[in-house]
Parts: sequence; C-alpha cells; structure tokens
Amino acid sequence: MKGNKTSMSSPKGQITNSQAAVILVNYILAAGILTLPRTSVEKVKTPDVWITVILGGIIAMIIGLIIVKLNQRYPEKTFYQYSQEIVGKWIGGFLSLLIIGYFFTLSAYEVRTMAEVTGLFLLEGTPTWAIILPFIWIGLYLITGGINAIARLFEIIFPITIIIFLLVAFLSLGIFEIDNLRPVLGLGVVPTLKGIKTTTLAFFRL
Amino acid sequence: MKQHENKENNTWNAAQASLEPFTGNFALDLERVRKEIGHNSDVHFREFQIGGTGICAAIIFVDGLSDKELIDKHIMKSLMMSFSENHHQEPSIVQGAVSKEYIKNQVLTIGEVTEARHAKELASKILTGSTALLMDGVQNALILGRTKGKSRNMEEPSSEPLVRGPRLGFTESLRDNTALLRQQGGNSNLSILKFQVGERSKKELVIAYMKDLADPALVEEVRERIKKINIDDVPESGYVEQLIEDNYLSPFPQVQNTERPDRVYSALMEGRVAILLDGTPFALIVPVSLSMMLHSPEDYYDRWIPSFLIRLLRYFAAIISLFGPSLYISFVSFHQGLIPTKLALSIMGTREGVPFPAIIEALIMEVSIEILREGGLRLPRPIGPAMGIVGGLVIGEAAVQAGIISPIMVIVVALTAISSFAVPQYSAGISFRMLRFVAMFFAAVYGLYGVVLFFLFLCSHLVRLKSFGVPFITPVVPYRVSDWKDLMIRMPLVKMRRFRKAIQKKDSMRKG
Repeated sequence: MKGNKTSMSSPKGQITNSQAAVILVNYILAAGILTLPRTSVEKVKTPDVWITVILGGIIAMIIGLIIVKLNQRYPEKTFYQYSQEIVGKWIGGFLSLLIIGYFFTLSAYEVRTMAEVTGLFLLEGTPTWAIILPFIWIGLYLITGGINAIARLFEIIFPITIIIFLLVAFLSLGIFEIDNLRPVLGLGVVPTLKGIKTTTLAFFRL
Repeated sequence: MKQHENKENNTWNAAQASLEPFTGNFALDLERVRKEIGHNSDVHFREFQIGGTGICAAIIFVDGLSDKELIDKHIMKSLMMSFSENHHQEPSIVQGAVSKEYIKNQVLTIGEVTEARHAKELASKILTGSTALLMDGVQNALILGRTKGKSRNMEEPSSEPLVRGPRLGFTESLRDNTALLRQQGGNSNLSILKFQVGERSKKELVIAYMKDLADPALVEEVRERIKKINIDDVPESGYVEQLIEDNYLSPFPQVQNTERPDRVYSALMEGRVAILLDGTPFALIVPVSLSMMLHSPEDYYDRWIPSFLIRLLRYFAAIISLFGPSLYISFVSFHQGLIPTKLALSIMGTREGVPFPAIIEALIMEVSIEILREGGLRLPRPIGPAMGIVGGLVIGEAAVQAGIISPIMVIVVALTAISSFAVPQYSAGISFRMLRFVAMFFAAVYGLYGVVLFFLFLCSHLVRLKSFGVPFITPVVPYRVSDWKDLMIRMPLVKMRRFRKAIQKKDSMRKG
C-alpha cells in the first residue's frame, strides 16, 4: 500500500476456514507426493505400500485433529504462545525452536526439490542457484503481503493443482492393474509398519 | 477616480479591502468590486436605477459565461419595468431605500439566489459564471443564477462503443452528467455529494452512490481520499484517479473510468461509488476488480448464451494477449521437445535463415506493432486505416520476405495484438500490453519455467492489490461461489439475483 492506507481492509493475519483448508491441501500435494511412491516402496519392499499410505494418512489426520483441538482450546494464540503455557517456558521455547527449524529445513528441501525437478525436465544445464533465486524472490515478495496474500494465492493455485493432479492420475489409468495390489499382507504386518514413518511424514508436513 | 483609488490604497491594503464586508454604500462597494475584478475586459458592469425610485443598482457579470436570458428577462426586466408599476407602495421603497428580503422574495423571478459578503467572494462567484446584483442600501450583494456553461451535445461515447445499449454518453458538463445519472432511474436513494478540488483553480467534483446499497465505510473512505487531494489544478478525472488509487506502483488500474452513464449506474446498483468531475466526460468507479475490466455492459444486454460465450472468449483473448508471445518464445527457444514433432519441424523450417533468437524477433515485431498502434491513434481520422494497412501488411510481409522475421512470429504477434483489442477497458488493455513484455523477458531467460514464475509473480501482486479496501481479484478469491455466476461465465439473468457481496452488505437480493 503506497500512499493511501485503507481503514476498511480486513485485519492482517486472519484467514477464512476455506482458505485454511486450501492451504492444507496444497501443502500436502507438495513435492513429497512425487517422491512418496519410491521412498515408501524402498522401505516396505512388499506390494502392501497402499496400506502403509492409508495408515500414514490416518496418523496424519489424528495429529491434525490434536492440532485443531489445541487451537480451539487456545483461540487467538499461536503455537509458540500456547506451547509455553502447556509445558513451561523452557521446554515450550525449545519446541518452538524445533518447529522453526523444521519449517526452515523443510522449505529449503522443497525449494531444492523444485529446482531439481525443473532442472531435470525443463532447464537442462541451468545452474540450480539460477532456478532457485527468482523463485525465492517471488516468494519474498508474496510473504511481505502477509498471510492473507498467501492464502489468496493458494486459492488461485489450488484449482490448477487439482486439475493437474487428476489429469496425471487419470492418464495412468491405462496401466492401472488391480492385481498388482496382491498379495495383501503376504509377508505379514511388519513390513507395512516399517514404511509408516515415511508416509506419515509425507502427509504430515505441518 | 484616480484620487479615490489612491486614498483607498492609503487606508487599507488591497487584500484587506477585498475581504472587508460590504458597507451598503453603493458607490464604495462598487468601487471595491471594480478594484478586485474591474481590470478584466470580459467583466461587465451595468449600472441602472431601480424602476422609478432613483435607487442605484448595478449588475456585474462575465460576458459569455453568465446566462444572458436571465439577466435580460429576469433581473433587468423585473427591476426596471415591472417594478415601477407594482411596488411603489412598499414601505421601505417609500422611505427611499430598498430591502434585500423584499427584492429577493417579491421582485426577482429567479430560482437560485445566494449572497456574497465581501468583494473577494463576489469576484469568485462572478468569475465562475454567476451574476451579481449590488444595490444602494443593501449591505450584501445578491448572487443570481449560475453559469450557463458551454457544453456540447450528448453523443455516443466514442471510447466505449456498443452494438446494443444506450447511445448516450457523458459530456464535459457536470450538471448534465449528474442529470443523466438521475435520469437512469427514478431512484430516490441515489445520493450525490459535492466537493471542491484544486488548490488554485477550484473544480467541482461529485461522488454518487446508492444510500441503501453502498457500504458507508466505503463512502467514508472515498470522501477521505478526495479530501486529501492537494494539487493546484485538476484538469481531468485521470488526476483524481492517480491521487486516490491504492498503489501507484501497480501496472493495473485500480479505478475504472467510463463514459457510459448506464455503466456507472449499474456499478452504483452493485454498491460501488462513482466520482464525476466537472469538465470531463470520464466518470470514475471504485472499487473495481480485475474481472470488471473484462466485462462489458453488453454482456447483460444480450441474451445469456451469446454473452456467456463472448465473455469466455474475452478471457481467453486476455490470456493470449498476456502469454502469447512468451509461450511461443519459450517453446521455440527452450522446449522444442514439447511441440509435436511435425509442427516443430515446420516451425524450425520457417525459422531457418532468421538471424535472431526468438526473443529479439518477438521484440522487433511487438515494438513495431506498439509503435503502429500509437502512431495510428494520434493520426487524423481519415489517415488512420491507411497507416494500419501500410504498417501491418507491408512491414509484416516485407519483414518475412527479407528473412528477418519468421512467418509464425508474425502470426503470433498479430494474434496477440488482436487479442489485446478484445479487452473492453482501454486502460486494462494497456496493463496487459505492458505485462506482455515482462512475460517475454521471463520466457527468454527461463523458458516455460519463467512463464510459470511470471504467472506466480503476477498472482502474488494481484492478491496483494486492493482497490479501496476490496481485494482486486474479488470474487475469484477469496472463494465466493455465488458470485462466480457472473465472473468468467454469465448465467441467465433469472438465476443471477444476488449482488457481489464484497461490495455491498446491506441488501443481498436484487429486487426484481
């Protein structure tokens, strides 16, 4: 806002429920979904990966529910504020630091994945930093607009992601073979559980 | 008279004298007014005596600006002729003076009568076209009537022609324009507030809104911003637009301008606020959204199926005009593999012998088309088409034959240019034209990834942009599905009874 400040704009840092949902969905449909099949199969080594994926999803949902409950219990407060209230100042502070560190490394990882994928498919020979740099600049420009701008951008991108996701899913319909799911639990439950960490983390990027 | 002037100079200095209240002494007051504006050759002083009484009076007016008929028929006639017959019984006249109230209430047959208390006020009123009446024994001067104003006939708005729809456009006269708005529908809720803008030359400006539909906070915001305008002179509403817009760095216009009363009125009916300035046919509408720039009033005048399809076409054209050349550049210079092989071969075949990379080729053509457009715009009307033919056909053809440009590039550029004409708002079309060049540079550096980056960048900017507190991309996001009926698509009118919520809060159902 240059020059004319608006008095009637909605307060900064408030998003609607649907915006929150859209952000979450976009978040899960991140680059992790691209690598999820390979990494989880590597861990499980049986055809039961699909069970692992479902289990991982359920766990992610339970954790999401906990987060929602916590937020309902402490409305108007951020994670950093209520974590200190629950477990005390020091441990809460440590947890907050962990969260910050987690997001920091996660963003770096995501940007890197994006750059690698782009470099592989679109820009062979372009140095990775040259791909990352403009992307980060645009991200910087976006976040200076606050959470509202971010939420709105996600709302624009959301339909595009869904369309592309469905398109990709349906394009592979031709090579879809239901028999590949068998044998179900052929090697017992143990290998299925091995992959849960990977799949949960793929969903649970919160 | 010279002596008198000297004496006055000794007594007061000129500025003080002009602010001193009138005395009621005719000769003295008239002298003050003469000193204030008498040097102007177009200011006329007409001294006379009120019919048969011997009381001195004078009218002062600007020749050409004031209403001659008003002066002749209503002022002079009622004061000089009708007066002598009827009014000599009035007690104040019998005493050899005349009372202001009496003149106002019983003699002058004029609707608009105000008063001026000193010479400065009087001068400003006269110079804006009113007629002043000074009388002996009456302390304040009477200001009669208002400017007749020079205006042209109402014509069809030349910047926004429609196939179907009202042919009437705004003119330069504010009075006519507000009258046109009132005439659009006998709606008693239409409020028109008056403001003055300009520090040195005062101009009248009005804001119009529907009392029952417009958000009071929005109206307040508009008033605040208009009051903040601090500039010597406001020749056109473009000045107002630039001084009240939210973000002057944005390539997008955050205020809509239009010459069409029907467009303004339908905006008012959506709860928006219109700003009209004296002396220009362009009215401003706030707040606006990006989708408004791609809508035309005609979308609603035609039946819904053609309007629906045409609107879709227009969005498509806007996308082409924004991304056309950049997509071409990125495919040709980075991702030949993504084009079907046969097409790729034929494109490469035509590009054989072209000495430039695609970006340079595109720049040459785009810039020359922009020059053509700008040149054609300023030309006298009969030469315009000839220029288009020479520029478009001859240069395009010759450039291809000379081997500087590939024929496909000419097709792309021509398609882009035509697409950008499909944007109904001229100012929005310019934004797309500017951004097209940015997109081309992104594409030239990063290929398709660059186009995606540019799209993200554009979206990041759009989501931050606001027009008078309303997000610029309403109602695309935040999701407001009920408003999507009138966004890219246009549903049948019977299905479309709701207003846009972002603008209007009080009354969500269109009465009908």
